[in-house]
Amino acid sequence: MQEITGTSNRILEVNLTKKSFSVYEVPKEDLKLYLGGKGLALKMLYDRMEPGIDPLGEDNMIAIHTGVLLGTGAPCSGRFAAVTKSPLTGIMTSCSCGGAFGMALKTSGWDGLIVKGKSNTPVYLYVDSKGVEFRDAKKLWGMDTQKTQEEISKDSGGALAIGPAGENLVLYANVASGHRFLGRGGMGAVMGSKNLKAISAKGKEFKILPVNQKKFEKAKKKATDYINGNDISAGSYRNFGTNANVNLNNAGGLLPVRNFTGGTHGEAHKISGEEMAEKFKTSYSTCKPCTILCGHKGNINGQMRQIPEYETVGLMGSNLEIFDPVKISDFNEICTLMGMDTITAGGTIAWAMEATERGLFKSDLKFGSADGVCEVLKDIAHMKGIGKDLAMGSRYCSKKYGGEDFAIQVKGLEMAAYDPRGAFGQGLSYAVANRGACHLSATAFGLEVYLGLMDAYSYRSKASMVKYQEDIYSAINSLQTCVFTVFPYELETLLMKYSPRPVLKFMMNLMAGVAMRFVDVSLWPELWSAVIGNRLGMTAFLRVGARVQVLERVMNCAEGISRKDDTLPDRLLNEFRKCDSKERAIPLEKMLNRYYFVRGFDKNGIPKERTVRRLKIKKRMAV
Amino acid sequence: MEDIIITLKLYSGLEKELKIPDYNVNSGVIIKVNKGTKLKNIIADSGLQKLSGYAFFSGGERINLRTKFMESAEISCLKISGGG
Ligand code: SF4
Repeated sequence: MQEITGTSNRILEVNLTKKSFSVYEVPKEDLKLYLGGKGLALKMLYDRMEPGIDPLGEDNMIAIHTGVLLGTGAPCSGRFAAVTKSPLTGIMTSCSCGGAFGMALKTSGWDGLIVKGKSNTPVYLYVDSKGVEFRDAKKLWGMDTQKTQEEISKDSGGALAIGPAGENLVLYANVASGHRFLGRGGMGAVMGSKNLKAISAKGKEFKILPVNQKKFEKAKKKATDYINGNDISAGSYRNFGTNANVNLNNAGGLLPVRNFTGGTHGEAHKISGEEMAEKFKTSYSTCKPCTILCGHKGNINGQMRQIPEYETVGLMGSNLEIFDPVKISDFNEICTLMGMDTITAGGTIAWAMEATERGLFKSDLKFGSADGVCEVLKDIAHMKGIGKDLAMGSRYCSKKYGGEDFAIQVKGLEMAAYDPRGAFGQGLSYAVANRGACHLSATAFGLEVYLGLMDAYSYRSKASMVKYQEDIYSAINSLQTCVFTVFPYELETLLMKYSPRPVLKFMMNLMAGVAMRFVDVSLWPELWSAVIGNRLGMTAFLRVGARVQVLERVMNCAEGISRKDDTLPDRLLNEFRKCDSKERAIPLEKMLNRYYFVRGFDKNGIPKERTVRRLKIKKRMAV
Repeated sequence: MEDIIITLKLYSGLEKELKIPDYNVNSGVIIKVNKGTKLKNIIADSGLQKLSGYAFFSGGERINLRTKFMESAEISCLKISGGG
């Protein structure tokens, strides 16, 4: 086997219209400024795509980047990033994904892939070290995501595939890599619009070696020890998966209930991670490599299935008032096979249930009843009946039928399963997140409710905290590695572990911006430096995160995004919940003003020129 | 001194660690304490150790170990987790 030391720095640029490909070498400066993963993928599109293009047209592109850690054996590094312009939101969407595809692409000798143009007939791409083959996919068209991967697995180490939802241009169709997904924003529809059914990579042609093996092994050992010693990574995640959040969110008033009208429910424990672990006799089914092991599978009614993630359980369970884990697993299975995002599907169905109840929309869907949900999900995937409207998401449906105040979305993306009325910082985080109401841009609820280090109902210090979290998550997604490493890699450091809790709390509540500067985030840049051989310090690492975050905002502003879009649904701003001890309103405007200030944006939410210059974001290069 | 009733609900497998037989998540563990008792003392009485690894909630909000209970209440006790 041949070896790649550090990174190949080579990207395959594929033109589906011309059925041709070329090789793009990432400039050294871009690697330093954007690291890889989400950062480089975004930069590659920034230089290639004009604003205003049709997300489902020939001019849209998909950029995939595997990051420098994948293939090295670093803990939780079995992830890659993909970026495109979302047909659901009309702005950029970026996703991180596990599964075998990333490893197969990287060990075929490629760090990434740019796909542009449109094929006139269905094709799939086969990638190996020599380049790309364009293969006929007529026989695959109509197949579900898992069967498609099976069909093309003979000469491939891993594949990306869309299901019928992607083919039919459901605006929130996703892309499967094994049983993991490029989940949010409709990347599957973008592939479908290009007549691109799948991408497979041969893999195992190259071995990836760090430049500084000794330094790498040292950092890897420290990372493994941190993960194995941390209560969150080696406890809750490993034992109960992300569904450990169900009981926690129910107790803390964050659980979405009945289309975000309530934050707690007496039956929530029935769909919790603890309950599912026992009932379904779960075992691990994770990204590879992974040390945290949050993914689980289990025996559900005699079938071995992937256990639904927390977001699915929140949006397709408690938010629909359905507390039967088998039914939720059925919904999850349909979305998996059809290739649809469960968060947007759940959020849109919740809107449909409420709109039906209010006489705005005609359907048989009812809160508390699983009847008809499976059929509606299949109709969405095939664009049939009411599925045709619901396939466009809740923003579209509420504009057409009414009920915009209870369409729980921001910038067109349905909200993840944490009600921000139980954690105000999370409200800010949803309002400003680049891809819409996303929970992976900043997890403010973690500090506010889970760790209890900040007052959940105060606006103080929230802007600095959200900015910090956005920066660190963007940097982690650019390495790339799993964002769940944030808990062990930060919380197991000496300062966080041994500082008295009241001191931490005092600092966080009064001056999060200053407190965050003392957080030791050295482990991630240590891993990157060992693999690449260039030194990357903590400050530079966080600055990469800020650069990626602002670059994405610059691209979104070019699409017309500004302050008017950084908001929350009416329900969350103006309706109070019975589960709260007091009536409290999320002080969004106050937090937003402060956020723009700490980010270096003007009052309208547009990055100032000096912010862009300071972060070394150059003008579009037109590659 | 007046007594109040605390219903302690345990999650994250804590009932197994405390070896409570036939634990019922609907009813929890009922504890009678004096009015004004702090959470710290209620928890210590229940046998939980290493308090920093847990999160405590009452009435849908996070509470801390110094919280005093003046009336009967339900407390949820869980191990902390990350996001999803
Ligand atoms: S912790 Fe979960 S999401 Fe992260 S790499 Fe492991 S299995 Fe994948």
